[in-house]
Amino acid sequence: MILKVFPFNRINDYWTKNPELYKFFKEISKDFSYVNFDDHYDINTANNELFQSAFLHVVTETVFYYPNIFLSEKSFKPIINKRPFLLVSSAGCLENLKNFGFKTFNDYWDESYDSIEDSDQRMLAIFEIIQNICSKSIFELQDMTQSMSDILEFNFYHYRDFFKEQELKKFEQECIKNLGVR
Amino acid sequence: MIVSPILNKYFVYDRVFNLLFYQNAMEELYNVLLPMKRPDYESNYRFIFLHYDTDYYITNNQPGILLRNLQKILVSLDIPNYFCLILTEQNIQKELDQLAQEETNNDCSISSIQHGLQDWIHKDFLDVDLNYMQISKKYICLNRHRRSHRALLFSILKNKNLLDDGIVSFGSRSPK
Repeated sequence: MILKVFPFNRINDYWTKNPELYKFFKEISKDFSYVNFDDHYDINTANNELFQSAFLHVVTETVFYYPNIFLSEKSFKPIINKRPFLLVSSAGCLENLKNFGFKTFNDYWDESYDSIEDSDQRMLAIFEIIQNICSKSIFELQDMTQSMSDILEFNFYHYRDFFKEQELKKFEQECIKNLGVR
Repeated sequence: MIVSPILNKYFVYDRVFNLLFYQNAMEELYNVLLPMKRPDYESNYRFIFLHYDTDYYITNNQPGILLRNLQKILVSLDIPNYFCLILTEQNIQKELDQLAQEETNNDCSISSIQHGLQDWIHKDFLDVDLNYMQISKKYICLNRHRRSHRALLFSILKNKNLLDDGIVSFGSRSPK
């Protein structure tokens, strides 16, 4: 018998059982929307003007309360805009990005949030980083961007020139392996 | 698909099945696979499935419902797992191994290849300078599509009065 999807809740919704987090969430109605910038950009394309005007890219991935690694194109937008990022995603996604050969920002803030399995705790750890960044001045953040330039440039060129070829090679090896005895 | 030339080089397959299109009506996948079932297959024949969207989970330690349904369909059609391959960005092999144990009578699991070659990841983009002097906001957090974790983070930022420090969206695009 095929199981129907809809009678079940996604595990994504389990956090609502946490009363403290749910208290925040309740304040947002279903019809609520918010935009605090000139909203003429096409978010589906990499708009450098918009994306480079901020320091930290807080990437809210498709899923967060999820037992698997899941990376979409959203996680790559900060890389092509040469900006640092946090991944608001399932645990282990940042590690996965490192396995792809990208460098991250552990010298600048605590990236252990990526290994926190408890989603609520992971969200709070992410928020602490955002709060800390917000306590700095724009001048300090510009300065920090400059000091990160090696990482930001490396990631950009790794993505542009090597990432695809590297993944194609790995993919081909996996295909060959798949043809073997299992 | 970026991976098509490699798939064509190593495998024989009739078509690629995107699980996203069947997730709410898996019986359609059954109906599509039914006429493709054969008594035997070439050793490099594969039923290729794309699993690039999210699955549905009841608990963290059980395989996703979408994958379980796929396994059930393959069993009911008597299509051996050996001839099935899932392309995904997710680490699902353990789930597939568990499903083989729970839903089939043999040890061979559906295999998966985890990769970062989705077409939407590898788009053309402009070469840009660092432009650090362009920074005028402390962070950017765009949440066009409403999801619970995005709502939660937005709520926390709002409660801590940090929205003005960033470039933030939440919910549908404002009318022009």
